Amino acid sequence: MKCWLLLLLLATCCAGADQPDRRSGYSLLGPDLRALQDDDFANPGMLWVDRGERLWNAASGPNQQSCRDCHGDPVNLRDLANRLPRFDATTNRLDNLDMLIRQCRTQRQQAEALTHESEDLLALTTLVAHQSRGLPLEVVVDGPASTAFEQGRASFERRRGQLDLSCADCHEKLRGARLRGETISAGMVNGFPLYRLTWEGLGSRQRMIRWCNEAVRAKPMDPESQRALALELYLAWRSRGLALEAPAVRR
Amino acid sequence: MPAAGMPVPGRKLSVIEMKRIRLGRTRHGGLLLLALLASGAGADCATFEIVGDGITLPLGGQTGNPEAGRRVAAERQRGDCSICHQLPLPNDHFHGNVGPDLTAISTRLTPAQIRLRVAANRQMNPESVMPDYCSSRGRHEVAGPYAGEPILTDQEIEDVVAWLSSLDGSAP
Ligand code: HEC
Ligand code: HEC
Repeated sequence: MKCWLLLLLLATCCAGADQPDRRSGYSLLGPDLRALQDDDFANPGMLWVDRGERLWNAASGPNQQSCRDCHGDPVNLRDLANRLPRFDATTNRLDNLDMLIRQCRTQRQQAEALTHESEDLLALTTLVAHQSRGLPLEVVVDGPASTAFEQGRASFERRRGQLDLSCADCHEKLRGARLRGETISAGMVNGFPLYRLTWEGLGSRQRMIRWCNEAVRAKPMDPESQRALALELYLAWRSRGLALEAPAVRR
Repeated sequence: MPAAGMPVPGRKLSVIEMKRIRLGRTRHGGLLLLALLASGAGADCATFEIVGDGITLPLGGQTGNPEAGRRVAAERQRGDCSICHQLPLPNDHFHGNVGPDLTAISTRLTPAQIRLRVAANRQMNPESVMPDYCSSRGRHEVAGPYAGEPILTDQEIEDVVAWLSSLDGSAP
């Protein structure tokens, strides 16, 4: 009997040790910000979803096609954002949601390219990610993706910048501590694209990576480079199982 | 990559190299002298010697000014120490709690001990999140304007050390 209890205790403790605290940044929000995220009429990120819907239906390019002409309702892409980034074996590279939409836009719709972090691209990525709200993050990190995944892990753990800090220093070692007024979260990516009050706007996962790199005075990463995408893949894997919240709200 | 412990012309020695030279290479009497003569280029701050768990001599022979040190510690673009520590900076509303409270640090540490912790904390504890303020060595992917520069200059570190050495808990 005692032995069973001990085993049970061991099992619970080790499950905990094996799965470092993977709580959504939502858990650090006060009641006001939770309410803001939860109410679609108040959530500022929903403005981008609305704008995304208009763009989704807008004909563009030489053949005057809209996203809807090929994909139908956005909900048809429900099972997409939660599985990105993913490795494309034909091109031999990682793609994230921004890149898939940018590619579709120039190659299939043959319309003018959407630039990174432009309001139009953010509107479309937020619309598509919003379709996956509630679905668990689930990225493939084995097989052909495994090299990129290991690169991403190494990048997360490598100290960088003049302040010589790694992502892991802050989001693993210091999680829960206060960096000035800001409580450091586990660095999960299940909320993106998300509205940050400090940005007074919406941003992608790659914008967050840029922000954190800037904080330690590190070189920015090209958001379409395989290094940046490998880091994003690792972040998505760390966030595995968490429900997608796009558009989330954060401080 | 230069061989371990071999000084590279044109930059100053790191503490680790100094230690190596002191501990393992003192037989090559000329080496340390040579390295010091070759230094000058590069923006690393002064070489220093760790004695016990402190640095006894002021960096670069500078004299610290506590008033200037308070400003260096507070400024976001310079020390920004209150991002991690509680400090007597009444105009600064949010202080971090990553590192220990420093409001009475002089009652716990000598100036030499404080100097080592500010200049080269990771020499004692490589895992620490507190960066070395007196080195630009071994850093990766540093953004352009900061590349090759230590976070603070010798003078700024001496100023901060002078200010911290005056903190006994009585300041507001
Ligand atoms: C000096 C500390 C520090 C470092 C180093 C750091 N971050 Fe952050 N990070 C923060 C703070 C502070 C926030 C905002 C509060 C929060 O959400 O944790 C944040 C937020 C995030 C978030 C958003 C979490 C959410 O719920 O929305 C992600 C993702 C993230 N960081 C990833 C990274 C990555 C990747 C790196 C390395 C390139 C990194 N961070 C390095 C301090 C840091
Ligand atoms: C990223 C976080 C961070 C920053 C920024 C930081 N520190 Fe620290 N500091 C720490 C931590 C954590 C410790 C605890 C000891 C350790 O980890 O080595 C510490 C320890 C110290 C100590 C020794 C305190 C004791 O009680 O033994 C002093 C003195 C100190 N810091 C001064 C400073 C000064 C001055 C600055 C700015 C120029 C600064 N720190 C910036 C995190 C930080």
